[in-house]
Amino acid sequence: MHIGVLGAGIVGFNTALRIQQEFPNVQVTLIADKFEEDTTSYGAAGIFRPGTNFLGPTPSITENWIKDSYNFYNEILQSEEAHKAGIFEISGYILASEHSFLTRNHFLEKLLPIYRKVSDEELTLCVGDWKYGSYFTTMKIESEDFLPWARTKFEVGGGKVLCKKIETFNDLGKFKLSAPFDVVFNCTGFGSKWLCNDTRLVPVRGQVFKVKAPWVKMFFYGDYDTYIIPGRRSVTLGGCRQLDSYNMTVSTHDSAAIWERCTSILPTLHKAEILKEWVGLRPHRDTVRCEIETFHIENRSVKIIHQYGHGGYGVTTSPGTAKYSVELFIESLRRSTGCGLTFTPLDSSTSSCGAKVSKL
Amino acid sequence: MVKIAVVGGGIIGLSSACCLKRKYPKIEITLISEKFSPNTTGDGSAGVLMPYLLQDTPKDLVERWSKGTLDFFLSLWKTPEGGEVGISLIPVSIVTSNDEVPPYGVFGLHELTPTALQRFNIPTLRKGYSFTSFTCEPMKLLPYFLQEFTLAGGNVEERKVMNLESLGDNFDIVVNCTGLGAREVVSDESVIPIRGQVLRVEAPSVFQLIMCADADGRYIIPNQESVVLGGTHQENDWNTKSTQEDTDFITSGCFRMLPSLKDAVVLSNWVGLRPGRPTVRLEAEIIKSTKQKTFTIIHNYGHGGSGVTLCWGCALNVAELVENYMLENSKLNVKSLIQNL
Repeated sequence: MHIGVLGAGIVGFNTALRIQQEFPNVQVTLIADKFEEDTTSYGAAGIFRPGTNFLGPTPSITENWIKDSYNFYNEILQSEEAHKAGIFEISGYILASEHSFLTRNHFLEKLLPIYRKVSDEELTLCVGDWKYGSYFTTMKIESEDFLPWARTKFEVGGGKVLCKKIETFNDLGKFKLSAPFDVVFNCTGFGSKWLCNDTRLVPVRGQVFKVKAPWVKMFFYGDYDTYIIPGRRSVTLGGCRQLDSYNMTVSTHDSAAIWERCTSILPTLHKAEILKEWVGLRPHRDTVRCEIETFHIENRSVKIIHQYGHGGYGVTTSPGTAKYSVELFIESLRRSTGCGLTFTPLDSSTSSCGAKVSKL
Repeated sequence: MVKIAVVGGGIIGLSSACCLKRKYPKIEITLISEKFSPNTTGDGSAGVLMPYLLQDTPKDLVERWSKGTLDFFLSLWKTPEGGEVGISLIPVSIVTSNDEVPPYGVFGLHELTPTALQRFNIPTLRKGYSFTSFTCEPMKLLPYFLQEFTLAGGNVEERKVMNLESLGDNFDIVVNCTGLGAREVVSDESVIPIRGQVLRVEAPSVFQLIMCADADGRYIIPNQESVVLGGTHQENDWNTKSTQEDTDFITSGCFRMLPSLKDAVVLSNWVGLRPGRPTVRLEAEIIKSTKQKTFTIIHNYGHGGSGVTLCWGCALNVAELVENYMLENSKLNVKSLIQNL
């Protein structure tokens, strides 16, 4: 069996690793035309924080995605690999001057070691008339380190990486591969808008500064769309969420607004050195598409497993969606081989779906 | 016109000098010190705002001085200069195998759950606290204070002071911030060195302060350009050279609490001699100078491992004592005026 993964962003590599974990002896090839700094994942701050609006097929599946992702990253965090994988613990505040619901997060409140209301004194830590706030401790997963780390792990595990551009799924039949693909995981993010002609995929444009401000050791979220998130190499200042905007150029108006909003919360940022500005288009979809489709490529029946539309939560949720997608594949294998094994429903909270299939 | 001298250019001396200059901009203040940043005791420290090694100093004083310092750093933190000055807001976890009480005046104090305690890999731990507090690196704060002081018209003299009586000939008030030097300068043998060794490593993905408050506890303190791993607190130890034994002690303990530190590149190894004393000495003393002139000493030394933690609160206290002196003096002046009428 030859398994393909399309896309070299966080979703692609988390999926590739998950496949190797479930099928250690199967050949896996990852194909993409954009890598590392050319991916959407690269510019993201990478904080583990699902938006309250994030949605999968059902609320229960959504919760499991997030829990599975958290456990995946947390295991690496507790190990010596954490630093190499770009994963570390980080704490900070969400502050709101008008609406207390903005400081709540039903996903994280159940999951994180600390997620609590702030004290009155804590409201004085930032400039502004803050009425509500939450403090929490979460993780940051920096793609700048995680993607290369994942790639190395993938290649050491026997995976191959190819740099190629695909316009249609039929193009997959035109490459010279060791063997034709039997199944392909489509993790192309925004690319699926054209690859799958998916009109439900909408860009949500985001712009950020990356600055040098080594005294910032905590994150801050404030009214509205304002965030300050420190990282290994720089502090990310953001942001904006512009629906249906394809503008990949830095907007000076957005820059000015973001700068003003961030420096008003944390005046010390006035002395920060601006390293660069960056624009990314979040691959937003009302729900993440996680489903199997059968294609015919060069007279062969190939399963395509779609896994795209994570919006601004690719880093946060991709280990969970990867696990789910691979389980979808395993379930479909069982059905097609007619093994007659019982399987656990996919939206349960168990961590595996029963008997594994390997060595095909 | 009153003339004030501040002896000692470390964290205590500089904060006292600045505080006095802010309160009395027109008074002539001279800062005299043998050493300045980066060669003071505080310079190598991480600058945590947490009372440490204060022995029997009365709790209410420690709380008062800590609060004064915390308020000072909080207001600086909310100005553009805050980061440059060395201040950082940081999440802290303190864990203990005993019944340590959490420090005063921190933000968002909470007890750690037993699950959270397990993550530190120290089986004897019984209690832990999480809160937000500040660090302020003396390496950045001291130059800031010195610049403020000189721009405001303060005088600076770089020389060693052997005794305060000679200074009393030329100054009305001498603020004694000599730290460990007080052993010689005012013959106070109760001041002893408490040796502290620390390593600085490159670990830019450490965003939390972890401290084990046990007697053999180690700590991990992120600063702006490095992470400080510590430490030791050896009383009466004058050795200013780092030892391999202490390095191993520090690294093994820190790696246990945070395994991903193992890869960190070591940048430096440093030893500081903290000015330990049974209590902080902060009081006024009236004595005669070499030429038999009466003058006032305001002692402000013996802060153990809490120089940064208490600096501004103590400086405010010194300023109060100076104010008392001014009031007393003006009373005396009025009295003598009336007598001479």
